[in-house]
Amino acid sequence: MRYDIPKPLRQVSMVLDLNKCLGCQTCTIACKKLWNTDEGTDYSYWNSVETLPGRGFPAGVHDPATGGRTVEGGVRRGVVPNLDTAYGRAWTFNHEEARASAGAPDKIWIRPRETVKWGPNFDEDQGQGDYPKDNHYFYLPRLCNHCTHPACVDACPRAAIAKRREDGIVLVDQDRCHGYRFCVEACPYKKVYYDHVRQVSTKCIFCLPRIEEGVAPACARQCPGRLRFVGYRDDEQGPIWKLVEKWKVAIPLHPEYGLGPNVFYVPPMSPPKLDAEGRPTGEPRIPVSYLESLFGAAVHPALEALLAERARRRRGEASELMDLLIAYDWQQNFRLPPRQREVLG
Amino acid sequence: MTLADGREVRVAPVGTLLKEHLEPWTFEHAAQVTGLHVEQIRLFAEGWAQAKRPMVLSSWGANRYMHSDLMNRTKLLCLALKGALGRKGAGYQSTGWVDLDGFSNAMRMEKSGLRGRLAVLFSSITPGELFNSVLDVVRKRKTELEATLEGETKYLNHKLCTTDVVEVNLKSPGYRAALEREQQGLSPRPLGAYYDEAHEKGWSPGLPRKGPPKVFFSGGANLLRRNNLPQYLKAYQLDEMELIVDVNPKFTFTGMHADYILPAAGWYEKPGIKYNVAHVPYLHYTDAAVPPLAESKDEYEIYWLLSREIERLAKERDLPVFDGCGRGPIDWKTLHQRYSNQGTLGQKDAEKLTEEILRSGATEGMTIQGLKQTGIARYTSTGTDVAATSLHNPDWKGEGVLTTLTRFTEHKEPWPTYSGRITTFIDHPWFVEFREQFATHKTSPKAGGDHPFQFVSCHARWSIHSTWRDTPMMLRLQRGEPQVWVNPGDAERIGLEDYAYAEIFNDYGSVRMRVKLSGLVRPGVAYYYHAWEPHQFPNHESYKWLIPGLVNPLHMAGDYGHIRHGMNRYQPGSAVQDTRIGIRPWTGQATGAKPVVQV
Ligand code: SF4
Ligand code: SF4
Repeated sequence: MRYDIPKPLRQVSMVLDLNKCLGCQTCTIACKKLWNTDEGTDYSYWNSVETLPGRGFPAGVHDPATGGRTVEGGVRRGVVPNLDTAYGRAWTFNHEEARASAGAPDKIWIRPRETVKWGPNFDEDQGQGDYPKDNHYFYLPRLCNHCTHPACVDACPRAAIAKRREDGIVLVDQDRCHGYRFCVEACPYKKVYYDHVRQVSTKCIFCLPRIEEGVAPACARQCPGRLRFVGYRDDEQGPIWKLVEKWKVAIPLHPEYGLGPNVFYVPPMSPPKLDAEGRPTGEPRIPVSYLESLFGAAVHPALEALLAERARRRRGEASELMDLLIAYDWQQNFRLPPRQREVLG
Repeated sequence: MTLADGREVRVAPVGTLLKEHLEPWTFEHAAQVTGLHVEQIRLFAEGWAQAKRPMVLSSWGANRYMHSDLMNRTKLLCLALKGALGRKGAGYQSTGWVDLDGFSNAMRMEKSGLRGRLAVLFSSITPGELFNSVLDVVRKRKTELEATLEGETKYLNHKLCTTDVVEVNLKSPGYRAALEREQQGLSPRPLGAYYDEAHEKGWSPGLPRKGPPKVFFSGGANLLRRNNLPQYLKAYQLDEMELIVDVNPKFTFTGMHADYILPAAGWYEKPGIKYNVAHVPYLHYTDAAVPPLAESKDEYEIYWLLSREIERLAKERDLPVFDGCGRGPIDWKTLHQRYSNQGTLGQKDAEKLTEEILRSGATEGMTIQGLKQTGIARYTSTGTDVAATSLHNPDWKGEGVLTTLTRFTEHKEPWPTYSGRITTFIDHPWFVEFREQFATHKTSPKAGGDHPFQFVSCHARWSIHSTWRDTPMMLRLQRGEPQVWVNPGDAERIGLEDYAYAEIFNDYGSVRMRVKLSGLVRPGVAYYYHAWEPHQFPNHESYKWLIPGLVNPLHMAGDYGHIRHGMNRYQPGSAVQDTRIGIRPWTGQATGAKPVVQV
């Protein structure tokens, strides 16, 4: 490791229960409207939601070796995604011409001015399998993982990226940033974006001005699925600790990259495949091997715990885990004591 | 047995008839009809039979087929056989609304305060009728609910100047001819015959307007986008208008064809309440986050200004009192006085009106100030439960589970059916004619011609109907152009690749859309998320140009227990899901709707 990344005093964290995600992209738009409406970041989505199995956003993000670390712990040079074929350009539209042609014989219709090759949500709901036997897909909302060993921090020759001492949020100091894009290349989750107008890197700030006031990030607050939990990892009364440490049902995405993500996922259970008679088999539609390729071996005990607790609840017995995940009292999803607001220099 | 007139008739209990009727419906037969496997059906049936508290949550989507009523009657039959209706945690949750009586008051009041409210009460029924009603209730000839419902129905059917799209469409001979052609053979008699009979017998209130309309005034809607076969609406109605006005927060397709657009403030530029279906029992408040852009205004204000101007002109020209829609005289010389409650509501007083709405049984204790703080508030009851609701729970006070229909189960009031009981049997003459006395299966008619794909729609994820449908930020989440979703296997068979253009065609012509592959789509179905604006398609013609929107004549039946017209409760709709289309690759050929057939 190039820099000795100091351990933060506390680590803020998010858990997302994939069993409840509707793929509505409210989080995506909540985030985009709040932070990324500038021309230079028009194509970027600090929060994105993918349909999986699928190519992801940016396309190819789940392919092996998109960045991350080598076995020795060094930074592995990855790829900078292509604007057209991986991110997808923010297409512009021709509304005015279309409206003006209302009375004309040749009508112009609203459509992208640019050639469309890819975009966020491009393979929405495509999934895999055959209807009705084993067709399947699920949604994977993604944001920066505010990693414990962030590759983006290590990759930057200007030391422009740092992990905040107070809460472990990973931030780009845009005054120091020279726009080399080593971080974009190194982050295997592809969650650093390059602002091509201001020529600096930008990334998710975990809505830090909100966190400081004790308010959860916009993507979490506005999620109609109520599937996001926000809090500190060491808070044993909070949902994060319970789901990650106690019940061990919330696990990181791509642990093999070795970055120690602080965003965790409750993996999706799925209805059974049907046999030739249309009868449900015992096998889940989403192949567990596929989930393993995303979440590693920890997905097995996590799914087992979920199924066992769900069965308990169905028998009418109490289950702390299921009550937590159902989120009867949504306010309990967030445990963020307000802090003294830091004055950013 | 022998009837009073001496005729001999055979009598059988409905239960026996029902059993007989259901006899042929074995799992095997159902499997043949549905294409599901016998085992799947058996599994479902066993699950249903064992379920302690079966519940059906049935939304509007369930009402968009020609034979939706048969489907819904079947669901109700299954629930009734389990004794599930009106039982806690079980039964039927359809899209009931919590009834805000304050809303209907606010809409009708012409004076502020108690005097205004009382006037509303007496405007729909005379004091004599009120007296009789009270007497009926006291003498137990009618329940309180029945009496109130009668008053409400009378107001809606005979006072309020209102109608529905089917009525508007069928009133136009050209449109009516198109639909009759489409529906030939679907019912024992032609569609128009039922329409005429329903109007003659007063089953359908119709709109007894005296002359053809001259002005099309659109607010809170986008009719030219939304209507089925808009080419007929346009050719036979809109093109005949002297004036078209659109009041809208959005530059809609309807607005594009209007003479005037009065820009309304956007959703976050004006305060307001939203109330939604009762399984989310909260009233929502939206504050104005930012002031309205440019000259746009809150709709309340637009109508305030407009009514003032109309009143001024009416006075200036000394317009006579006239009866435009055939539901009673309207004096335009006092229009603004009535709108503004004799001047007590000013140009910016939308919130005063909201306060009036909050004087509802279901919103006890709610204030605008409180809503501004909390954003939402839980209803305190299901409201007056008169019309347009399927809640009917007098005990629910905002706490715990909202069980529907307990008025008729726990409280033992008679069901509003012919027999006063839950009934599976309807022997209304039209239902007999259609052989729909009991719920049964009828095949989905092939609307738009015999083409291989069923064209099925759903509410969009990236818009609320056509609002935000063409917003760049939302379009970037869905490839920028209208898409038709097909099963990957079907696409392969036709030779279509993902994102390619395809020609979607049927007897009404063709349109062009992008292909979107999805494993969620059943083979043989072409799926689309609705509300694309026509100007998002080549020629400014959307798939609506291919959708005839079938009308089920039975929805115009009346005078039989619960089978009677009620706004938003029992009225004909325009069924889109039966539409059939073909799909072929687009290789540059011209697409477009066929010309409107002249009558
Ligand atoms: S997810 Fe990527 S951008 Fe975020 S902290 Fe980890 S390495 Fe850095
Ligand atoms: S807002 Fe919530 S439910 Fe919607 S896509 Fe995002 S995470 Fe999923």
